[in-house]
Amino acid sequence: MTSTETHHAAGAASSTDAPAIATWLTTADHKQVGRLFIGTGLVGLLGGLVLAVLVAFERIDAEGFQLLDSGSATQVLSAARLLLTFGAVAPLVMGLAVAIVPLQLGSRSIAFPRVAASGFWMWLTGLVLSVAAIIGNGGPSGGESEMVDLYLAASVVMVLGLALAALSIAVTGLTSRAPGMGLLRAPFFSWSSFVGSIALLMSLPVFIGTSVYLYVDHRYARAAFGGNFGVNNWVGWAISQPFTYVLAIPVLGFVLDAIPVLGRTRLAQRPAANVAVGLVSVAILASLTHRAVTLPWEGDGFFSGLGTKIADLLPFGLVNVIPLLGLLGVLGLTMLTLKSAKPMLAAPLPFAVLGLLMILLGAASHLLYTVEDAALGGTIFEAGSYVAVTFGTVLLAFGGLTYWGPKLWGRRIPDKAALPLALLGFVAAALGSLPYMIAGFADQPAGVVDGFAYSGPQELWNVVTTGAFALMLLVSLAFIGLAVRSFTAGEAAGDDPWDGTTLEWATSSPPPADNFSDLIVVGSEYPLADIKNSGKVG
Amino acid sequence: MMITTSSKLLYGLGAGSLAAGFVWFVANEGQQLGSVMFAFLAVAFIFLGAIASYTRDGHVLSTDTAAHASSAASQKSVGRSLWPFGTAVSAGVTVVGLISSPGIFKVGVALLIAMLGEWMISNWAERASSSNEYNTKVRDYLVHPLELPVAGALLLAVIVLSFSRVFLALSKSVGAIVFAGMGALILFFGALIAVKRQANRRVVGAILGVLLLALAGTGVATALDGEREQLTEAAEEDHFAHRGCTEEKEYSDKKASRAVSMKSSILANVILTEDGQLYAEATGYPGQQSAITIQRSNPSTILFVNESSEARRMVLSYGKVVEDLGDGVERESALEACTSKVEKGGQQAVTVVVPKPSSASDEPFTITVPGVEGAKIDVFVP
Amino acid sequence: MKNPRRRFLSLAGAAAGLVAVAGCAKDAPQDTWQPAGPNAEMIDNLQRPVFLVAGIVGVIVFAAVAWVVFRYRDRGQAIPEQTHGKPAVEITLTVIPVLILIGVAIPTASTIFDLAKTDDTQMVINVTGQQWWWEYDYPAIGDNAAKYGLSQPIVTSGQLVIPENTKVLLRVTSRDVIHSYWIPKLNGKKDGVPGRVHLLRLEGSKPGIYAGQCTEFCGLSHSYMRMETIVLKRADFDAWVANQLAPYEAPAEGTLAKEGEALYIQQCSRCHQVNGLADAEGNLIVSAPEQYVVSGAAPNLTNLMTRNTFAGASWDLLTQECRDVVWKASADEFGAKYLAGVSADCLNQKDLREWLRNAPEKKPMYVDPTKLQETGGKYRGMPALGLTEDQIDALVAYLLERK
Repeated sequence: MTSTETHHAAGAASSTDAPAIATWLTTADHKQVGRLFIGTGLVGLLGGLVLAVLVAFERIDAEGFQLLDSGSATQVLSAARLLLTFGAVAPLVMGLAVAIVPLQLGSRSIAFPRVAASGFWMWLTGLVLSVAAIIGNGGPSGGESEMVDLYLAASVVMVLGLALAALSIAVTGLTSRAPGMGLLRAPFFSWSSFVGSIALLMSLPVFIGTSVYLYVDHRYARAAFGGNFGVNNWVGWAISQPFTYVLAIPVLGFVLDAIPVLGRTRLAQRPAANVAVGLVSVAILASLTHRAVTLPWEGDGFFSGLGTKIADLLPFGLVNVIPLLGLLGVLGLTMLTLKSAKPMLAAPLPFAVLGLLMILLGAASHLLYTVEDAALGGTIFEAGSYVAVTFGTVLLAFGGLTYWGPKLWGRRIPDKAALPLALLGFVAAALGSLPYMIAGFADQPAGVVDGFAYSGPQELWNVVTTGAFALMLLVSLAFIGLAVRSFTAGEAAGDDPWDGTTLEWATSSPPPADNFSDLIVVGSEYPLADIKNSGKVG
Repeated sequence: MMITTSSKLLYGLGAGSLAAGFVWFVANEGQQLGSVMFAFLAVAFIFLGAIASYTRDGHVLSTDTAAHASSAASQKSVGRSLWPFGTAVSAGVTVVGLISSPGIFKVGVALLIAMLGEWMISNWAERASSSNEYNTKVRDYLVHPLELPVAGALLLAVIVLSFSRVFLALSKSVGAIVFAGMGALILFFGALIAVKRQANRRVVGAILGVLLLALAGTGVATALDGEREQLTEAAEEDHFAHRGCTEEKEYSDKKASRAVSMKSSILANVILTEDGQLYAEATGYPGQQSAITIQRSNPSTILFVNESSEARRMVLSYGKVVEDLGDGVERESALEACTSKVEKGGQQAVTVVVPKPSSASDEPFTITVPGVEGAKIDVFVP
Repeated sequence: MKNPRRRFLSLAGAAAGLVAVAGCAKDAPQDTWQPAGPNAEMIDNLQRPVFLVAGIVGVIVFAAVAWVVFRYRDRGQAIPEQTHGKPAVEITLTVIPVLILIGVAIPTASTIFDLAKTDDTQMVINVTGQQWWWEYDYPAIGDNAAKYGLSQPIVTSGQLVIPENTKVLLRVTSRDVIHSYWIPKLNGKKDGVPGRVHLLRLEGSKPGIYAGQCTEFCGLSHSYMRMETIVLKRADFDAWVANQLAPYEAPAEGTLAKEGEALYIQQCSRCHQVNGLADAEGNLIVSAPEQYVVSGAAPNLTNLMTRNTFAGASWDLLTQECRDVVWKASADEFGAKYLAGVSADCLNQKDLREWLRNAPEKKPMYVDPTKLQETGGKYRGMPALGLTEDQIDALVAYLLERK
């Protein structure tokens, strides 16, 4: 979609008399597509959390009480992760990006709007079929052969949809910026969405290709990839670290955008922030090697074989340490910014800070997990870092919703109601991940729900996580209820509730069909601030 | 400037991938697979970086006011379209077909092609001119000759298929009632619409839509539920192809009574009495006959009435046919027509065309009842 | 006559006059007003009074119309007062026709029921229509066998032979499309419908030939689908039956007819049956019309020369002279004349030879060999066989002996 083409809003005039369901099915408006992603993502989140609570509950008593039989427990575990990663985190993050990025860039439309819309529907179709397949005993390690086939084929459709949405976002970031807005002047959410989309475009096709291989192998030969039991071995990377960082990249931009605005200051070291976000995307290198790059520390032999050590350290550092450095960079810049800030007590702020901390916790713990001497491989420690990153990302997405929700719906979530949810969510995330890490050190195995035994108070840790998951479920329910009520009947937000500096706040709330009536020419990193200073907008 | 912001990122990631590949190669002592993967990743990143360089990040200078109006950011969004959604649903249908049945798969692929085609054509048409009206016309002109017949055929197919599934699933008696009821409903609504000429098109359309959905839904439900018991069991026993004329009872003999064709009149009633006597009442002949005549080459219907206490079948034997199978091999098979096993008091008709006169056969043509000794009627075919 | 209106009137008058005169034919063979049997008489007894009543009503109505047209023709007078509704007149004009119709309906219904009676049947004959000829077969069962000497079934065509004053019941059906059997002097019409058997009473009270034709349009040669019913005294009928059932007599060796037999076996026996005909090894030859003809039947030629017509009774086998002898014979002499059959002298060589030379040219029968796809290669009639004149001579000689 090059800049010489002329688009016409065919049928835009008739949108008013079409029935509501038809407008949702046929929309090519990026804001509407984004809201579809977000809405279904929230539903997926509840589903994933319910399953996570179930599994955690099942883990409490490893021997006796059983809610699920062992076969289905493994599948529920897979379903929980599938729903949390691809049914909740991915759509929440992609939805925010699809809805907000064009607005931030001063663009009237997303690039390839219909591709983005089709991406949503494909993702949804694939997700629904995947879940149906899992229910039909067809998830990873599933027993119903045809349902396993369905799961594999449906997950291809699901991921293809996400890739299409990512394509739209990446191309928008690259081509549809307002005149004068170089990429370095683009808001950080746009930058990080661009980087994240590129990373997804590089990694999701690998998932698709692998799933196709698995499908063919499972359906016809079961010779090469281990059939139904091989599924998680080959595509499990997509529901574990460090791929989860890739999904979190866009909402890192939310942190970098929201904190200066809410802190009534400017971000320190803007280019460094760009670099930090870029570094996180290196996580795909580790994703695609799927945890193969681990570090054999071998304790006291460190100095004896220095050459070998460097040979071990280099790839480890390249694929595992660099993303963490990027995350640390984001945190550091945030802290640096907050030092000079006079923050307003707005709900997005705690969501941003606490969510970022959780992601960091997850990333740091994952680094530890990859060190072989820690002997954590195969333990539930991995689940700890997964929960930390995933819940952290969910907190950031909640933050993004409280921050940009007023723009999309024209009404705002009351800060007083949202603030406690941020804190409770953080508590849930922390209590949901740390006990698993401890249990991991105590050798509680991963991937199994029943019939494990290890020294230490295993019931304590598992009870705590169960409670934490339940708390997260309640927080999510409360947040969704709050959001629905606030965005439909809440206090009107005005066009610029946070006194923002970027272009999404320059248009009305909610924005009109084509976002901006006039093209805004950009002269700095803070175009709206420029406009306000020049007195054009009150 | 060739090194733009995004190309920095992409080249950087490309360089990182290259480095990772190299390090991997060294660290894993020549294990190539991972290195190859990194190399491909690097190529992809560098390729994207090159595009970013070439397009200069798609940057439009704030000073280049002439380019502002044509910049991507200033383009309005395209209008709503059903095809993206349709494409996604088609992909779903294809996937379901992949694992369930080739038929659904083919439908899915056809849908996918149709949806993508429609999508492409509508995208093309929307750029045909600056007039929406003209663009719509251009699109319709191009696609309607394809769309409308296909849509019509599909609609018909849905209706016909749903109807047939429903009636294959219902029992014969209920089917008749349902059919009559549906006919009455259609007549009623048709009359209603005819009388209320000013009826809102939308209302009528909505009612028809709901009816169609209900019909299709019922059709799918009944199709999944399977055909009625008799049909499935008879299909299993292959009674649509062959029916034995023996004394044994088969599935098609179940509830076989009262299956008289309404279309033909009866050439003769063949009655098996309680005491095992067999006689005929031929149309036009007074009284009970022990012989009947059937016109040659003429479809003739004979009704068997069973008044005996056992379930019996009537068998009409009318000679044999010799097939030349080639190489001097001949196959001789008896020409027979028979009813199903008819319960006491039941009756069933059989329609037969006798091609040869009885005088041409060595054995006489007869009507018999297997299992009843001496029950025989002579059949003459002049 | 320069006045076009006058010209038209005189033409119309002439046409009407011709139609009227056509009704005056004496001894017309298909005259419905000359019943020759009790069934036809029942109809006649009904239609005469009905026609009388209808005629009177017609005269009154037409006269009234004519009077009104003349009396109130447009002479420039003022349009009279327009009124609507005159119950007395309306009721009267409704009641009178109702009464007339009731008066007509009672005897009509009674006659219909009388004509449908079958319990007094003395003889049963199957009548089967197909494009474009009628087949008659006399079942050898029941009273047919017991009282009329039918030890074997007789299959014939074109001419239906029945004994005098015998209540014959026809079982009418069809092998392909709907036909209708009608001998106007003996009874009304009855449709022959595939898959159904319709019953038609037939009784002749005077020996003679009674003609009819198919009265349900049945395709290209519908007009060539004729039939005749022959009424014979009982003794003559018995003679006829005996002749029909007589064993086959092969032509003498070395005769032209013997050549004709060989040719017949080769060319004709695929469809046409001659009872008793056997091949060189003595095997009986059974025709297989079901393989070649749509209807699955072709006329049985065993006793062709005992009937006076061929090809759906459309052409005479007798020359005009010999035909007149039979047709004009008195009731007492008729039987003998008819049973004489067709002699060499009386044979209508012209039509029979034309028929053998190229049948479809004489009677259209959809037999173009290149257009038989839709019937699966089967003919609807007799195709042109491409016989030489010598072959035709031989066949005619053979057929002449089929008596």
